[in-house]
Amino acid sequence: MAMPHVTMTRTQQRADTRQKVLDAARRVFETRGFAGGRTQDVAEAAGVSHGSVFVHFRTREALIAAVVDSAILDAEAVTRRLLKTAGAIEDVLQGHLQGLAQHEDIYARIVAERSSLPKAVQARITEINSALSTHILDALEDSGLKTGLKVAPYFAFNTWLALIQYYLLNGDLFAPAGSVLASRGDEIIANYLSMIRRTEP
Amino acid sequence: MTLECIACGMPMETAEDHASGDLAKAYCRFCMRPDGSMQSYDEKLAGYAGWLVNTQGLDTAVARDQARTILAQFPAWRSADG
Repeated sequence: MAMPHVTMTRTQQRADTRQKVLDAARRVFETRGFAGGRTQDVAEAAGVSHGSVFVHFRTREALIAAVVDSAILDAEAVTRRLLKTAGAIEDVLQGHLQGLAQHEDIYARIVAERSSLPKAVQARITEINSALSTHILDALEDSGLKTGLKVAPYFAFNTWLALIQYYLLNGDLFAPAGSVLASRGDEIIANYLSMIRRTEP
Repeated sequence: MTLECIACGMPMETAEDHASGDLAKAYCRFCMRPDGSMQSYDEKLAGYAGWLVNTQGLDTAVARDQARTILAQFPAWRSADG
């Protein structure tokens, strides 16, 4: 009768160690970058052996892929959920920023190093960005703003993403002491919507 | 329990996420042909690359290359990455 309990415990331990390695990898990549962070550094930060890292993530690329997923999937999920429940463009844009709030430092690293990340990870980022674009363009349509756009829909999305990424990459200029999205997010949303709503007479 | 599309892995939370809104269909509305059947690999690749172009304005060759990489991760096409 004790076996299932033991199995559960081992499964739980394995999941805990995997999470510990993932959290450590994220901290290492945040401070040293994806190019500079070594799996040996991750092992030391997690307090596990170097080999243990590869028990949970078969390759360095798999570890990078898991860290990137942990950083970008929340924003897509929150944006998708708000599109279905709220629908208003302000809420969906706010949701995008909320989904990034816990991931600002690692997301800025992802943006900065995207073109040198593994090919599959780059494609994953592209995929998630297209999902975000789809949700935001759907919200623009629901809010009656899509047909009035003076630019191509993809350009409306790219402009939004460019704003977020610009503020994140230059966070030291706009919010030296804390979260740039928390302190400037409302301003970015309000001004973006003003630009989107602008119509010629 | 949320089902996942057998072709692309998208979570199908409601009936309208399924092809033709039919819960019996194991693939999603984005992986179906106009007649309701499931798209082939080439159709899915062209559709996916087109989605990347339409939503982000990517270069068409880059979009096709990245779409091929993305499809290689999908349940139905894991062995299709050449």
